[in-house]
Amino acid sequence: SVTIHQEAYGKDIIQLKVGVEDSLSVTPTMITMPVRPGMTIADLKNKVNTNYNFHPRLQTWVIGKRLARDTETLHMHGVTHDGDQAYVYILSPSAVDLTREQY
Amino acid sequence: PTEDPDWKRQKLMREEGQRLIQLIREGEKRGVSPEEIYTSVRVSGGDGAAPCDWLKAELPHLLDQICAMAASVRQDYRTGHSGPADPGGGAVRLSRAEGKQAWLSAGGDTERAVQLALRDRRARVKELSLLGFSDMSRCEEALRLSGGEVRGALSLLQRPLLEPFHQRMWSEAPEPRIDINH
Repeated sequence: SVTIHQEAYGKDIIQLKVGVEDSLSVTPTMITMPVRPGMTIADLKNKVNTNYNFHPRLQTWVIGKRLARDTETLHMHGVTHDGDQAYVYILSPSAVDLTREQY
Repeated sequence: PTEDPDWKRQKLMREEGQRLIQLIREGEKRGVSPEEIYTSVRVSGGDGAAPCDWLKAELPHLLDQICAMAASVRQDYRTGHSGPADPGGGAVRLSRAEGKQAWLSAGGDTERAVQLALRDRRARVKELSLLGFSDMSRCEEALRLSGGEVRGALSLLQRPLLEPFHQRMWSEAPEPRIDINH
């Protein structure tokens, strides 16, 4: 397997703009997340789960025109600068067969 | 701010992201996962039919094609190599569910999907064999019926083992007493 060395991307923290959306939102709710470009999407999902309590399985990350996969890094999607934009779409729990108990 | 070299890039990032989010939102309403939407957009080029319509019209054919391609490959579990299928046996019969899973993992690449599906199938048959099910063709069939799920296949394989319990349960039930005086 391949390990990503955080050092390869520098240690700099950037401010990622994240538009949060779901099936009912009309416009994205913007939040800012301090991230390192070397972070994976799985890292981001855990961060959002820890900070905002959305189960990782409910989160779908979109960067540019791509759906981001768990093992990919922000850097791989061209996220390198302050103010770069990503979106996280929150699925309804029923869409991913998540019960309240699992939650 | 328009002179900022990042400005145009970030604007595009926002707009393209918003477009995909909107497709994902429409997909969720129709019970289609973000992965399916995204893969269909990539495969169909994003123009023409809406992803949900494309999936409904085109994906079943594509999955049948993946299953047919997999069926032309003979699995050799001892060596882990695959070759052309022998006429009359040894072909891998995939379920559409397995085909779809592989198609999504392969990002819509049909040939890669066939390889992934066969690799996954091989791993799952091995998993079942480690649990004591050594008849490969029965494992294959159970996996096909369970849509590639090991847990489902395991239940199917183990059900016959418990059949005698059902039979004993009924044969040992006490016969109902009949009181002829009342």
